[in-house]
Amino acid sequence: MRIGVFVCHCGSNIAGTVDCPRVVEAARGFPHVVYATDYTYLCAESGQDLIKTAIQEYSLDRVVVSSCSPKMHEETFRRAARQAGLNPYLVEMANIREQCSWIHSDKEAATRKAIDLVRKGVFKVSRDQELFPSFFKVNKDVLVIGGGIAGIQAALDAAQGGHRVTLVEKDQTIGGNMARLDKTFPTLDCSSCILTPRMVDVAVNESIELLAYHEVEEVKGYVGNFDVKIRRKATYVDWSKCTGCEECVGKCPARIYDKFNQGLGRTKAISLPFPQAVPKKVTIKKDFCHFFLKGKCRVCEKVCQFEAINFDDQDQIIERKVGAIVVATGYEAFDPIAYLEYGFGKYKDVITSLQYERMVSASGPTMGHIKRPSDGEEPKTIVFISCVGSRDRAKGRSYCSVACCMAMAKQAILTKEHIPDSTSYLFYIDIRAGGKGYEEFVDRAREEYGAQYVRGRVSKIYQKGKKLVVKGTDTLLGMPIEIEADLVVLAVGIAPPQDAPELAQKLNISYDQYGFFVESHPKLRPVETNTTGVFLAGACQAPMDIPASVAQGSAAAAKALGLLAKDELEASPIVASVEIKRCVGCFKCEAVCPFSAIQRQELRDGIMVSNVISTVCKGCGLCGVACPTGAIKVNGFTDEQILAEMEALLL
Amino acid sequence: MKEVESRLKEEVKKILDEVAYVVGYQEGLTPLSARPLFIRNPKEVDRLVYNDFCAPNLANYVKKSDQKIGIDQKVGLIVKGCDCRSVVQLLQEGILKRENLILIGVPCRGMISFKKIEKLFDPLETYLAEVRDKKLKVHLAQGEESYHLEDVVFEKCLWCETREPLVVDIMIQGPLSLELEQKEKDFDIVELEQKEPAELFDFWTAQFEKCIRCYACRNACPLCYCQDNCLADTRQPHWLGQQTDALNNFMYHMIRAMHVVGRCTGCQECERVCPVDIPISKIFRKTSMITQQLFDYIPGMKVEDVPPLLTFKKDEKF
Repeated sequence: MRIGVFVCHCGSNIAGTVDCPRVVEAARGFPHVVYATDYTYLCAESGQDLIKTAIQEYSLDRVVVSSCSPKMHEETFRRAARQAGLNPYLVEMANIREQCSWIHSDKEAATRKAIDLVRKGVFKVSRDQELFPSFFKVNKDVLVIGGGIAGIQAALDAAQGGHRVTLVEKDQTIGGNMARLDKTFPTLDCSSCILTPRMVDVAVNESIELLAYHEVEEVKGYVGNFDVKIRRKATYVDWSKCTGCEECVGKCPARIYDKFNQGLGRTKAISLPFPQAVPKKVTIKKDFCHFFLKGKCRVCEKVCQFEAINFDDQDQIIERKVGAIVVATGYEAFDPIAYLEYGFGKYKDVITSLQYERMVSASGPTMGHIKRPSDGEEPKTIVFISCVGSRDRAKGRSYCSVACCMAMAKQAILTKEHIPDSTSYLFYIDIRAGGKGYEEFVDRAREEYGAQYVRGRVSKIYQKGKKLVVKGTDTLLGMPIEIEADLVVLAVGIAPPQDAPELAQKLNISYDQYGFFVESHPKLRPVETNTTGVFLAGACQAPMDIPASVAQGSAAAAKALGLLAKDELEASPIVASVEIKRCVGCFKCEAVCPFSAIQRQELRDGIMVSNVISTVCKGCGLCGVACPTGAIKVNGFTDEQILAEMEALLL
Repeated sequence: MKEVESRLKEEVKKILDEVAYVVGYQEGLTPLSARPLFIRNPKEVDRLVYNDFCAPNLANYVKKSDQKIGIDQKVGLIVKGCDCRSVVQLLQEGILKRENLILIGVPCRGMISFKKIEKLFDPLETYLAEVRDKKLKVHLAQGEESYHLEDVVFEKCLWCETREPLVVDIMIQGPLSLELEQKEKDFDIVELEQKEPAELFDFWTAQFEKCIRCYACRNACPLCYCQDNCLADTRQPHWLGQQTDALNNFMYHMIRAMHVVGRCTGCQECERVCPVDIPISKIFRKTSMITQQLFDYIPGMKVEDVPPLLTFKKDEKF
C-alpha cells in the first residue's frame, strides 16, 4: 500500500492555527505513507495538479487530503484522483479546518489535533476499497403536484423542454390562490388577466396531462423511476361530456359554503369555482348534494342536455411512471380564529385579506363592490391589521409571511380607488418591502392614496353600535389609539396546507415544524429536496410572493430538465449493502429506512432476506445500526473502517 | 399439576397432525429438572412432562429452527406466562410468524430453581419430589426432607405478573399460584441502584472477572438471534478480544446489553444457565425499566406493539 498525504494551508485559514509542515512531518511516520507534502491551496488547479502528479510519480494507491470538510471539496479531490487514474473512493478527507483550525486558537494543541485527524484519515484510507457507481435508466416524464402559479410555470417549462408532464391538482381547477386575487403588487395588473392565459396554455398543451380533482395517493421508487398512484376523486359528472354551461348550477337547490370565495357568499353543491376555471367542468360535492343526502332531487341530471351527470361515479386509482417530481402545493391562508382579541368569526365585519380580495374582485360575490358583510353598506373607515399568524411566537408562527405587507398596501390602494372618500388605517410591526419596486409601491400607497400607517399591534376589537372599535397602541407616538372602523381586514399569514406533512411522508421529503417542505440547502440548493428527483416550487417551501413562486417554478423545472437530460443516471456507491448469509430476516432495516430502500428478497430455499435498492439508498446508515447481526454495511463507512479510525484516535 | 400434564398430553396429540413438531418438556437428569422435548409422533408424547421444575424458556427452541420467516412450517410450542412474552417479542420483531405457531399455554404457579435446591441437597441423589402445603418434599437417601418454597422457587416467580400466557391458541387451565408471599418487582435492582458509580463498577468488574465466556447466556436468550454472526465471535471487525479478562468480558456483556435494550422480557434464562452465577439479568432488567419510562413500552406484551427502537415518533424527546 502506498499512501500519499496532502496538507492544505487554505491560505491562513488552516496555516494560521495549525503548523502544517509539522503535520506533514508526522504524516511521513504513519504506516504505509510514502509521500507527504503541504500546499497553500490544494483545491486550486495547481493544488489538484500537485496531487495528480504525486499519484503518478510515487505510484500512490491511496490518498488523504487534509483540508476542509468533505462537504466542501471531497468531490473536487475525488475527481482529481480519478483523472490521475485512481479510484476516487480511495481518497479520504481529514477535516483540519472546520473541525480544527477554525475552532481552536492554541496553535500547539491544534497542530496535535490535526496530526491525530490525519492519522485517523490514514488508518481509514488503508481499509478503503475501490467502489464503482452503478447506472440506471431514467423515465423522462415529469410529475407536477399542485396547479397554482408555481406548478403551472413548472409544468409549462418542463413541457417546453420536451417532456411529458402530468399535472395533478386536488381542486377542480388549476390557478391556486393566485386565481383568488384581484390585482397584484407592485404593478396593480389584474391577477386573472395574467394568470388565465397560463391556465389555458396548460389546458391546450399536448405534452401536459392535466389531472384536476386528483390527489397523489402513493409514491414509490426513486429518482428516474418513480411509480406514482393518483386518486381520481369522484366528480359525479362525466367531464368528457360536460361543457361547463352551468345550466345545472342554476337549478341546483343545495346552497353550500363557497371555498373559492373564502366563505363570502354561497355556491351550489354542483358548481364551477369561477368562470375562467380550467378545466371548465362542474363537480358534485357529495356531502352536500340533496340526492346523496336525501335520495331525492337529480335536478342537475334532468337539466343537463349532454347527459354528463353520473351519480354512480367512483374514485379511481390511476398509475403513472415518472422520472422527476415537482412539488408545488402552495399555501393556505392562516385561520385567524386563534386571535380571540380580533373577534374573527364573532363580528361579521372582521374579515381576512383573502376574503377582502374576493370582495374587491369584479368576479367575486359582491361584483367588486366593497360592502360590509353585516349590512351591505359601504365602509368608510377600514382598518388593516398585519402579521395575523406571522411573526407571532405566542401563536407558534414566528416566521414572516413575506407577501402580506405588500398585499396590505395594495388593498389600501384598491380601497381608495373603489371608495374615494374612505380612510384606511394600517397597523404594522415593520413594513417589509424588499423587492423590485416594492418600497416605491408602499410610498405610493402612503403618499398618493393616503394610507394611514400606524406602527403597533391591535390589542382588542369590540362592537359599538354599527362600528367596530379597534384599540391599539401607536408605538411611534407611544400613545394608545382607538379607531372606530366600519370594516376590519386581517392580513392573514401564509400557512402550509394542513395535509402537507402527509404528502411529505409519501414523497419521503422533510418538512419543518410548520409544515413547509425543507430544501436541500437554503442557499445553494433551494429547489432541491434531500430526496433526489423531488423538487420544490412556490409557497410550499416557504412563504413567497408571485414573482418568487414563478421563478421557483421555472427553477424546479430547469432542475428536472437537467436531471432528465441524461438517459442514464449514476448512483453513488456510498450505499448500504446486505451480506446475505448474515441476514436473519428480521427486517428491522426495513422498519427504520427513511427512504424505503429496503426490499424483501426471497432466496432459493424460501428464506426471506433484506436487499438494498442501491439507487434509492442514500447511505445514511440507519439500517446498519438497526441490524442486529451486522449484516448491513455502508460502503465507505464499514465497521472495519470506523474501528480503524477509532484505533487511530484512541490507541 | 398431574392433571395439567395429562390434559396437556391430550392436546399435544390432537395437534400433532398439523405441525412438524411440538416443543415441550421431558424429565432432565433428575426428576427435579426438565429439558426440552421435540415431539414428532404420538409415541413421544409419553415422555412429555409438566411440573414445577419446567424452568427452561422453550421460545428459544423455535426461533433458531427452520422457523425463519418464509418457510411455512407449523410448530407447536408449550408456553408458560413468562415464555410467552418472549414469543410475543419475537413476533413483534418479525422473527416468528404467528400463523406458523400453535401456542399451547400452560398454567404456572412458580418454578423451582435447580440452582437453589442444589445448595440445599444433592438433586442427583433424589428419587422423588413433590410440592405440597407450601413445601417442597423430597425423598433423599437419608430420608424425607422438606423445604420452604420461598427458598427454592425463582426470585422472578415471586413478583411474576404474567402467570397466564398472554397469547395462546389452546390454554390448559390449572393452578396459578403457590400462595407464597410476593416480593416487590425488581427489588434487587432498586437495591443495586443505591450504590455509588465507583462501587457499582467494582461490583460488576468482580462479576465479570468470573465470566468464562461460555456464551450460555447468549445461547439461552430467546432474543439473541444473530446466530453464527454474533459480534462476540467475529474477528472482522474485531470488536472485542477472545481473552476472558474483565475488560473483554465487560465489553461482551455491554454489547449484549445494548442488543437487548428495550427488548428483554425479563425471563432471566441468562441467569438460570450461567455456570458462574453472574446476576446478569439485573443489567437487562434495569435497561428495560429505563425504556419503559422513556417510551411507555413493556416488551413482549402485545403482538401489535412496535418496539421503541424500531420506530420514530416526532414528539419523542430522546
